[in-house]
Amino acid sequence: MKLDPVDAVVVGAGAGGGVVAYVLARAGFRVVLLERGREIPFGESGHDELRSQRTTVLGNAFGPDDGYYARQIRSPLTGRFYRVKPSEGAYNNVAACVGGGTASYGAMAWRFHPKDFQMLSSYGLVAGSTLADWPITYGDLEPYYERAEHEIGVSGKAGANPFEGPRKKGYPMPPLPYNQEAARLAAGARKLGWHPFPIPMAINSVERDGRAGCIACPHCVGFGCEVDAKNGTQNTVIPRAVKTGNCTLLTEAVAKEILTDAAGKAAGVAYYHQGRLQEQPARVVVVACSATETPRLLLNSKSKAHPSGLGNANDWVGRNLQGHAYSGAYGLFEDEIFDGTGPAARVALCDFNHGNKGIAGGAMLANEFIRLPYLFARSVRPPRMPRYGLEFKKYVRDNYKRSAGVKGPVQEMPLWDNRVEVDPKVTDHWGIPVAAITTRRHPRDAETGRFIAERAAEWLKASGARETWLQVANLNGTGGQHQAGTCRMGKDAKTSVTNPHGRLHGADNVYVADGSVLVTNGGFNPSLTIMALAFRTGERIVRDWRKA
Amino acid sequence: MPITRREAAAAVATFILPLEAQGPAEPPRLGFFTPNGAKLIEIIANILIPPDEFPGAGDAGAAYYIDKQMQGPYKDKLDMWRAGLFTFSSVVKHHYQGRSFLTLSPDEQKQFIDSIAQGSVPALRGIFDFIYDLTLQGYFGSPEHGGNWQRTSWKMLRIEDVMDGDGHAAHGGAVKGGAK
Repeated sequence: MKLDPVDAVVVGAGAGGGVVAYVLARAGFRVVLLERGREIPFGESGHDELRSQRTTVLGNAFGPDDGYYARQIRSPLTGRFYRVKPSEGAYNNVAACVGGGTASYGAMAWRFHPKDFQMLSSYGLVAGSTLADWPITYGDLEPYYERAEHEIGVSGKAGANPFEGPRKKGYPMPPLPYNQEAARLAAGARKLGWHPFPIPMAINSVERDGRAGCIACPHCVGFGCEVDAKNGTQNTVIPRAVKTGNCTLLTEAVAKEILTDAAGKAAGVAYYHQGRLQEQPARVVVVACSATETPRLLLNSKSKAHPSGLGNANDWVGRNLQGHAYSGAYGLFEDEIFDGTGPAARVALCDFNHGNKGIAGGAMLANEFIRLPYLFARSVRPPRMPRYGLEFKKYVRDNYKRSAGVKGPVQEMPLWDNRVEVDPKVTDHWGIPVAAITTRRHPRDAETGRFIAERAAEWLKASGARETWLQVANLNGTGGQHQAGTCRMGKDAKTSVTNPHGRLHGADNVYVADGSVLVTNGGFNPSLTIMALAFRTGERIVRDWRKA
Repeated sequence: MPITRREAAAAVATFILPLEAQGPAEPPRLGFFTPNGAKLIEIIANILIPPDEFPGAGDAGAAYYIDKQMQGPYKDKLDMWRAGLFTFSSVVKHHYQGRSFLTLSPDEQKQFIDSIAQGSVPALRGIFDFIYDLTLQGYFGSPEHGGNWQRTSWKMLRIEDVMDGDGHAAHGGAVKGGAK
């Protein structure tokens, strides 16, 4: 059914889509915000480790549903595609719900380092990689970082990170205080001459905006927040957008394709809702479905004017998929440094994001979120330790409160062949071709990973760990989290998918507003950068498409 | 030595739960396993996480966790599970002159599990890893899923005060003024 036209359809109510919908609605645009998932209230998702966003052995609390979705993943061993369900690790799930990943994320709210925008200029060509500079600088994005920090709500200590780019304004809330583990690690880092500071978090450290401050429970990353102190788009910009009266949030609405007219301009979006195919005409279409689902939707939007998919005239859509080559170390301590205080990830340092000899990039290092019991038993064990039996049980019992982990999101070298395609032979519940993902890592990522892991071990030792061991990312694949890069922004349409404002090359009323546009993925969790870019893109759409 | 469900429940209560209401006074009803099937898993789970001052994984309900999940989220693994257990039984029979796992002595049972854990029977690697993972889930996960009776593992780790696996706040509600 063809619906009444609106000014803009935004597909995806996650970090990027929620922000753009808000900016447009506030400027008076009539907006329809489509989300394939639902709102997930805390009472539904709860604090169940086995059904969280991090450990999905009994299912995905934040979607998507195993019964309706699938992906094709190319096996690094056989080179062949195989079918994967959303709750399986290889799926590379983000989430499918209002708020997207921000409904259950760990909520680290990082600004990228200025050099993260200038990777090619900083390090030169890296053989085999499509490493490039962003078409914008840290300075271009700074005002939008500030806006994101204040609109979403970030707690932190301005000026505490000597490696951060210049900022005009401080954080709207003071940082969460160090817990016992963080205090110990901060002292250890200072002993080494490093520069520890409280992690900027999109978590209320004090009451704000009518919602409580953090109660320091141990269930944070992978869960909703029981007192709603964690700030995502689902409890900030999306309700504000709806409140303007200009934005309709439609959940369980599954986008099929972006419709185009004879001239190749977007005419609207076709989507399934309650079993029916609907057509929503719009002047502007914003795609914000994540770096996997956005290229899928563009590639599934074929027409006479766009025979290889929307924005894909030069075969760049879906290319350069990146995640992070997470690497780090665990340490065991004599005394119990665990005090049960969440979110636990509280201290970080940026001494190794750049300037590492012989290495392109690096990573921020931070202490880990609380390792819940199953995850601890499953994965936190020195190599000498058997994985079962009395000795193992005693190890778990004695060391659960004596362990700490430090790791970092190691910046990856983008690869042309790391890509999202669509497989016309394999479809989801609605008959829409699924994403088919091929990834591996560049050998440099493992070198960087090892370097970062060694620094993590050094940090743990200086903080009193009696035993440490490394965990270094392998080369088999990437994109398990923090997916980025598949619709790279750039000045040249031949080597990018969008322009520097997120507008699609080849269809000037289509914009991309999610991790897809990131040229490189920084050595940080990317959510605040995605939000900042979405504020910037939203503003640009208002400027370019305001009614005469 | 394999212990019965009732003994296990009693042991759990004696060791760790003198004050709290006990777990299942009667063992929960099985929906997927036969009694012998459950017993087999209990023995294996107790080898993987044996009893000491705290009950082992088998004693704390790992088999009941698996029984419940096999009728739920792991429904699509039923064929794999049955095939794996069939191979398991065949290999045991082959190695121990026609005897079944349940009739082996505890030492023999442990030796057999050790050998397959080390990968000496490639055909059993998959089912071993699956049982291992499910046992950890059943022992360390939330009791609401059928295992971790009386929060055995959470008591062992001394984190009962901060865990709330049933989705209800265990912190007495919001604390105004932020993190402490």
